[in-house]
Amino acid sequence: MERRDFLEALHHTSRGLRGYFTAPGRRWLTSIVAGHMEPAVDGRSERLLDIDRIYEVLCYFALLHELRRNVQLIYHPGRGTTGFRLPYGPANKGNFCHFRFTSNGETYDVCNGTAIPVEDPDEPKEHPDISLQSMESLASPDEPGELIAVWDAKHHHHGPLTKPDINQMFFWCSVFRLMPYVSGDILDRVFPDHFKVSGIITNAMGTPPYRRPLLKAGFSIVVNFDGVGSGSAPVPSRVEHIAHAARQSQPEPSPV
Amino acid sequence: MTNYFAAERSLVAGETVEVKLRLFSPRPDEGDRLIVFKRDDEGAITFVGTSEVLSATDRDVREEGEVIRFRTLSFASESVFDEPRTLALLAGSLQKVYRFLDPERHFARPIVKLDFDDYQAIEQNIIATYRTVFRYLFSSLPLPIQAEFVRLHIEQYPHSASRIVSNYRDLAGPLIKFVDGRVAPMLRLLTQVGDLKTEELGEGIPSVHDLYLGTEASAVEKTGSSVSNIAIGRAGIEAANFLRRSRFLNTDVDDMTSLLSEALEQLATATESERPWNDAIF
Repeated sequence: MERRDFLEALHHTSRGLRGYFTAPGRRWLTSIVAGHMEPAVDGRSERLLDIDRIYEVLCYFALLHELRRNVQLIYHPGRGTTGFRLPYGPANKGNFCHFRFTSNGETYDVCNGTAIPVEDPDEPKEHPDISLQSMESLASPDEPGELIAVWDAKHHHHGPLTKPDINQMFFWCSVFRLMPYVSGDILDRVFPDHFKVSGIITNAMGTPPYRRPLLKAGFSIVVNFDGVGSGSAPVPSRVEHIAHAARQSQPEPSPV
Repeated sequence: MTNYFAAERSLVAGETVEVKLRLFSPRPDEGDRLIVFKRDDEGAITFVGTSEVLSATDRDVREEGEVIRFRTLSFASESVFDEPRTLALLAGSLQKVYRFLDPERHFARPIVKLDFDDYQAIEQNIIATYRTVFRYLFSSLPLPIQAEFVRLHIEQYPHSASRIVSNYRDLAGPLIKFVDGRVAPMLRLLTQVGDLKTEELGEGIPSVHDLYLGTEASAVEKTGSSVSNIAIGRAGIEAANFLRRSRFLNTDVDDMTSLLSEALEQLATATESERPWNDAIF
């Protein structure tokens, strides 16, 4: 583009952008973009609202929209007057909304960002971005149920996923005991393709270079996920996870 | 010593013109050089040529005990630029301008003083690309977002201790990346939130208008809690409405992204070194 045309276009565009932010009622929008949200008062969390959190919310609703085709979703509002509320830092289930469904007579909750105890009850709870919990053994919807699967939503502005991006999921797979994948399980029957295994959901592009570590850990990576439902198939696939698990449970052939 | 001014064409076009010299009025004198500009119906300014003051004659008038000076000026015939150049193009290249998105405010009067460097910038169409890109974009952002950029990039501000910005070479690129990395994706994702049809998920589920992000404290509505719920649904709806309705870029945030990457390319080919500036940070 000619420099002169570009600068005149930039001038025009900048005036428009200024008009957008100065319109009445935009103050909190400005704060969101500026990142000036105060840290949570509980002291544990200093997570400020950022682009990642918005992407996580989108992935949560993308999953729910797909689930709705197969099951009926029951809405559980959080406490207080603004019940349609999700946490913006790690939080406890009861204070925030979640969605429940029943399949084959069993009850499940799908939660966003709320606490799940790890295998060792003395260690701190974790707060996966999206979790699927079985609620059979519990009377109260406010307590976390038995964990079936987790998903980590990762927003990336440029480039492919990096190692630090996938470490969180490795950690969760090591501290949680996730349900092994079996043909005909709840993920298989009811969940959309991108969520048929626990995994990282990201808008980043490019084929993940890791396969064996993911098979060992039991999760996959979904790339090119735009936040509303389109993206690449999980890698490794569910079939590969099941095959890997089957190989692991076979005894080592003895040397001849 | 020669002084420099910008003057409206209608003033210069006549044979002579008489101006009232108030306390801070510009005082063009014989031999001073002028940039000639015209103002269109919307107030936009275009620089069209140069001229010179041929003569300046004063007369004093006594009015209500005060002496008022009137100066009669005559101008050389206008030497027209091959290419007229708009103020929108040159605003970032003039030291005089600090209202970068409303630069015509600096040329509101019929005659305006210029320093030599600004006169030369207009006459020779010298574009200061770094300053222009930085200041247009920076001026579009509200103060809290400007402050966030400054906070994150204080290292790139030359002479930040003196609070004067003299050089934009290390600021323009980072600002583009900041807007592109923070503002554009945020608007895009917020728009997607605004478009969520949450009420279709099932019975009794509110529309996204009522979706909030909050803390434990705001959940139980503790008094004295300093943190309030974020109306993320409403923010999303606003973002979606804005992008749909406004003339801003005519289409959507992807166009802003391409304008910003165009900006990065323009900066890569901006080889000229700019004169030292004397600007406040904000």
